[in-house]
Amino acid sequence: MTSILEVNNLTKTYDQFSLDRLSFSLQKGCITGFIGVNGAGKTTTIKSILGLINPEAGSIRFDGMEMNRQEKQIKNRIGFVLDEGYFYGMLTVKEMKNVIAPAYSSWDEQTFSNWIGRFGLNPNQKIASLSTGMRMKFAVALALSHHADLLIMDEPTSGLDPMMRSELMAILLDFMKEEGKSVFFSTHITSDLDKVADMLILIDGGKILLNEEKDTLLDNHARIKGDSRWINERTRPLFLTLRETPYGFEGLTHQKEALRQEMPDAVFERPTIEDIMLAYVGGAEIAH
Amino acid sequence: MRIILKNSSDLPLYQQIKEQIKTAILNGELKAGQQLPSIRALANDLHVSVLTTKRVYTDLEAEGFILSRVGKGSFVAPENLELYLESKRRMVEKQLTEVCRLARQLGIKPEELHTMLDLLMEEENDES
Amino acid sequence: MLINLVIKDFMLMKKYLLFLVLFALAAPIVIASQTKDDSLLFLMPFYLIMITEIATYLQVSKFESISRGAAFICATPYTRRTFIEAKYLFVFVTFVGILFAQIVASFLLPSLKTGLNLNAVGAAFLMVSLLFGVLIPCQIKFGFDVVRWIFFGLAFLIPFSLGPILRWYQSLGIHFSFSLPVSQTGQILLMYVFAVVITFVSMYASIKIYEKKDL
Repeated sequence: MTSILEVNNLTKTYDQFSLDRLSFSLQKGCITGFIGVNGAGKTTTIKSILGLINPEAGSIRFDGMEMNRQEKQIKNRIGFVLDEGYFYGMLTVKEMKNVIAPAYSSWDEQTFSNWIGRFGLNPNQKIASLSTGMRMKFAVALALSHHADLLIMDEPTSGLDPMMRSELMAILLDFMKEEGKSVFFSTHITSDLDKVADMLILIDGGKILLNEEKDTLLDNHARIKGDSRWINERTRPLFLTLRETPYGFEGLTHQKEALRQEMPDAVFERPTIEDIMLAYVGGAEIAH
Repeated sequence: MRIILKNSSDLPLYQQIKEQIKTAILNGELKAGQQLPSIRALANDLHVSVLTTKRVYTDLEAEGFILSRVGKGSFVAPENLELYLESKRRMVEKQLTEVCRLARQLGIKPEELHTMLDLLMEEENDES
Repeated sequence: MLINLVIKDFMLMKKYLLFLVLFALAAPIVIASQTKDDSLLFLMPFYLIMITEIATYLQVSKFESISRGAAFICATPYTRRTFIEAKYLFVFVTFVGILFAQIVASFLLPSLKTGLNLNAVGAAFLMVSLLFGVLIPCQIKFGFDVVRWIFFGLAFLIPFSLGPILRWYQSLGIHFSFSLPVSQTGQILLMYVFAVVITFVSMYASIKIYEKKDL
């Protein structure tokens, strides 16, 4: 599969934190989940892609075009949803739409009013008086009404109830049905990704720790439970995380085969994305 | 066609899917020329990645079970008796290998195993 | 595309828009009916333009500073450049609007025509260009709060400094006629040219400063 977006050596330094020569690419036709704990660098990365932050170094390419040179053309094909909404609160839904719509060469008014209707948004309501969920829906409606090829979303699900989260996931899958569409979406609520993501990128402390197919990642890791007596010098290093209690142990590994030979009677389970994320982000301290 | 993915299974997801589609083709549930769901639709329904379903279709095509036409989708390939027979044999063989391993481990002799197999086959025949 | 962002600025202060229009229409009439002083009438457009420009700009900037809408706009194909260009166009459109209100007012009260000549309007145009030509880049660089205090300072200073400015302006005019071998019309034309040049230089600077900003 070809890539739709390429980020190369993205570097941005803050007092407390920095993005360190971040490089990754997003595949066309895929939903890529961008996971990490709060403060890992997700928002900084997304803002850099959208040109809201000036990195010290690095380049961003979209479908063969250089962001620095063809910003307008590229942004015409990107739809975005930012976490806090980034709207003018004193404007109404319709007024804000009237400001944004002319920016896009292929704005589709019909599509927009369909979304507004489906979401139950009142065009004459002030944005400031919308709930978090409604504001997110408005942002989604704006992002999906100009036939974008890439949808970039920063923490779209934080602050939403489970119903709305699954509604949003259904919208994403719907969007993906059209050939060649891609989604890049950051979240710290990894359960959102269990069902929809194709690729996963894990970021921590401004560095990318994992960049893999979701299913491969889940296939290659296992959550193992068993008798604590099976834990010894040989088996202990095979775990990424390990928790021992008087009743047994539970741990996460990426060396399934080796452990299966060492402890054939242990229970091997499929991990969740969260298990894997936590193992890589904070695992080192827990395991040793 | 039914596809049931086991979270506890040791097989990677793509292999579980592949085996079950293959079984559906071999037992005639999926007929030659029949269209398969798109990789995105299948991925959405099974809650797996589109990359996984893509790999499944690529593998099945390489093995001669399905045909993909650009822009049209994927279809079950015309029946290839030799291929089917071979696959069926291999599927049984795979299970038998497992049985042999277990038998050896538990100290059951080959003759005993043969007898067991004959008995089981007879029972099956009686039932059906 | 550019004009949509100017309309956005007016929408942000739509609550105050009617008040400002009424002010721009009524203030000259009220002031002019209470005075016969020609020099005051001459300065009227200048004074009103400055006051109204500052008031509207402050209001819009305040709204701009309390929301993150600017970032949203910059992430769309508008890009940062258009966002800045629209700021300047907004100041200019406001200028034209107030001028228009005063022309309307002068039909009702003919003595107001004293201040509505190319010379006086040109001076106001030049002052607006200078003021915003410095302030907009400063605002982008240092933020809204710094600029608000500069504005407040200026708003208080203007009434006190009208006399000196008038005298300074007149002495400048005399000075010009000695040093520049151009006609009266030429001088007026020069004022407009200066104003336009200042605006574009400032706009270029603002775009460059804004490019480096993290939104």
